[in-house]
Amino acid sequence: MKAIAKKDFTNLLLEVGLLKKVLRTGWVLKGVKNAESVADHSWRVAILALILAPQLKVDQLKLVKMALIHDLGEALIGDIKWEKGKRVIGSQEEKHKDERKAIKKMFADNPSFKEYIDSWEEFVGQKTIEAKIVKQLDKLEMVIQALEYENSGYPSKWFDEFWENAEKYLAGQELENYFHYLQDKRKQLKTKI
Amino acid sequence: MYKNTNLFDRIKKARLIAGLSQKDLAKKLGVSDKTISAYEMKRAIPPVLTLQKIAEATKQPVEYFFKQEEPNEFNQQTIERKLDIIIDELRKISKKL
Repeated sequence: MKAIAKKDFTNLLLEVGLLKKVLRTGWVLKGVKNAESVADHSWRVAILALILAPQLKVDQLKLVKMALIHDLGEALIGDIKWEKGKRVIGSQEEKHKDERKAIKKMFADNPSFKEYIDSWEEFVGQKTIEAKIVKQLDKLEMVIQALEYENSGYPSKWFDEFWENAEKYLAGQELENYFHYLQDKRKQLKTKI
Repeated sequence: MYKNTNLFDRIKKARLIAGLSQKDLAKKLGVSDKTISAYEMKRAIPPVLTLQKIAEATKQPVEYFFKQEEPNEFNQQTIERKLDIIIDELRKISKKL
């Protein structure tokens, strides 16, 4: 592989770092204090990918790479909320269009970075098994975070729309069982309160 | 609910004061007009760099977007919001003509 110039690498890291400051819109709008960033979310999606890939018999490295890349475009655009629960409230296509521009800009400095653009395109395309799994992990991570917020005392009803949204993507899919397990955890939490 | 609703309102207000349509602002930022709409309709929080670009494009200081609403500003703001809507409608009508 062609050596990556220090300048290229630094620019990329600075832009990637912006994701640490992009807060997850859904939580912020609900009123969660010190809401997690998109980078926080992506990190745990990657951990889920790392752990679950062998069980799901999919390419672990490919899955982890895709998990790390899947929201990267939001570093320059923001986390656009285009669904509320199961309803569509914005254009996913336009969101992807702007994210595509952002991703291409980030990885433009070196031809060897093309594989990351391709990984993002594969995720957005939602055709391959890895892309479909990362989408499910994306939603699972979201409800795990919701569960954490509910557990820390935020009103449970604030998070209903996120659970509904996750269900839309997980019903009948590979990770449905784990989603049901998390739903049960939530029910137990509600009974405790 | 998110307390700083000023941010979203002020992005729209700054754009209208600058005489820009959502498409105009989108072009200056290199994003789609749907993204601008998301910033104005409380569906996305613009990243800091984007907010800086919005400030430059609308010729407002960045602080403008975080300014707290003054108590006596309420009525004025209500009127201003209604005026914003009228300006938007007029712009749409004039484009159709």
